[in-house]
Amino acid sequence: MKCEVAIDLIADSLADELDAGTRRRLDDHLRTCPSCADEAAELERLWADLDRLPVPETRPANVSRLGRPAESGRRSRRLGALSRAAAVFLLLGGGFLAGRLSSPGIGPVEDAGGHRFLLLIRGSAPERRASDEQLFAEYSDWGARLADDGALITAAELTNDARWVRGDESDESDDELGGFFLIRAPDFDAAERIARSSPHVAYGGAIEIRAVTRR
Amino acid sequence: MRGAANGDRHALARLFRRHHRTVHSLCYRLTGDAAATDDLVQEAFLRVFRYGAGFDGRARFSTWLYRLVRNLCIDHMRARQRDERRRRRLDTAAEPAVELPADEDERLELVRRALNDLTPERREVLVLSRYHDLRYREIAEILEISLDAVKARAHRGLRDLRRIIKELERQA
Ligand SMILES: [Zn+2]
Repeated sequence: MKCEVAIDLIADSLADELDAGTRRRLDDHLRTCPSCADEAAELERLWADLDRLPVPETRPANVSRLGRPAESGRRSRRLGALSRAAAVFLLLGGGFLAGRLSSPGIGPVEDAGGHRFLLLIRGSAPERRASDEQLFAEYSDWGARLADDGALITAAELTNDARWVRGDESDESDDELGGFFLIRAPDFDAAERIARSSPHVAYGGAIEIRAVTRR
Repeated sequence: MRGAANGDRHALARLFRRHHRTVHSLCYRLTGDAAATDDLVQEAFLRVFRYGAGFDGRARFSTWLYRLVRNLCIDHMRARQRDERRRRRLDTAAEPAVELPADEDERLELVRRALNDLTPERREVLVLSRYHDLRYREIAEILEISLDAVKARAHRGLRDLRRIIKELERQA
């Protein structure tokens, strides 16, 4: 066996891709070739070290803000964990909620009566920590309840990119806008109750409620 | 997965719980970009939920998922390269390296840097093989390349890794 071949077989052996016969031939070579034996030891160590390389924890907040510096003109907004959870939840507006919305009994708001409210999902630092899994479960349950109650008209997440067009005096809000829900409710108080019941608020995020003008 | 395609929220939650760790690890290992990992994971699940209906059951679900995540990470790395080229043109300071935990030993830092220095083609084979316990045959299916191409990349990837670590050690 040539040493060139042996080195590649060592790689295959580490990946557990060697059949018994080839493994025996490799072992025979390693017993008689000190330099390949050294290389095998080095590669084995490297293989073990690879396994020790840590994966960073999913952090509930801020990790996605470490990224890029702000660019002028076009500012890329990286979502914090809270908004990420909100977005995962909001995607349901395009997914399973869409199926429910088109189901019989939930028609356009004009037919169903009531007022329309826009719930703007804004991010901020979460007060308590939770795993993505847990956030996802809580947020999706809330969205499903809204849909089941017939309160939800539509929902969508917004992309990370935002552009601002403004006069000199206005301030850019620090709050990330993660997405929105368009809901139906009898009045403002009822809309507020719905917003308050959201896990987004429980986690310290904010929801801005705006009434939509009647047609 | 059928359930997710049909829009069952419990299926979505289950899917998320079952695959979150794998997707998270894969996104980080493929890109080496700790700052972007959480966003990539989120985007991966958004795509799974959106395109779940496009999973037709011909491949195994895990193969489909790996392929989706891998394509996403490739896109991210290309965009990052474009950003870096633009930034260099703008002559601004280089982005600081992601900080490692204080107890990270030097050897692991070398290995991490070497892994990030591999070409994306070689790194992804190594990552799928080392961290996701996938057979060469499965990797070939995910990457839609031949078994021989997987072997060649695996061999060169490990050789490159050794060479880069030696070089880094010499520099140190
Ligand atoms: Zn030899």
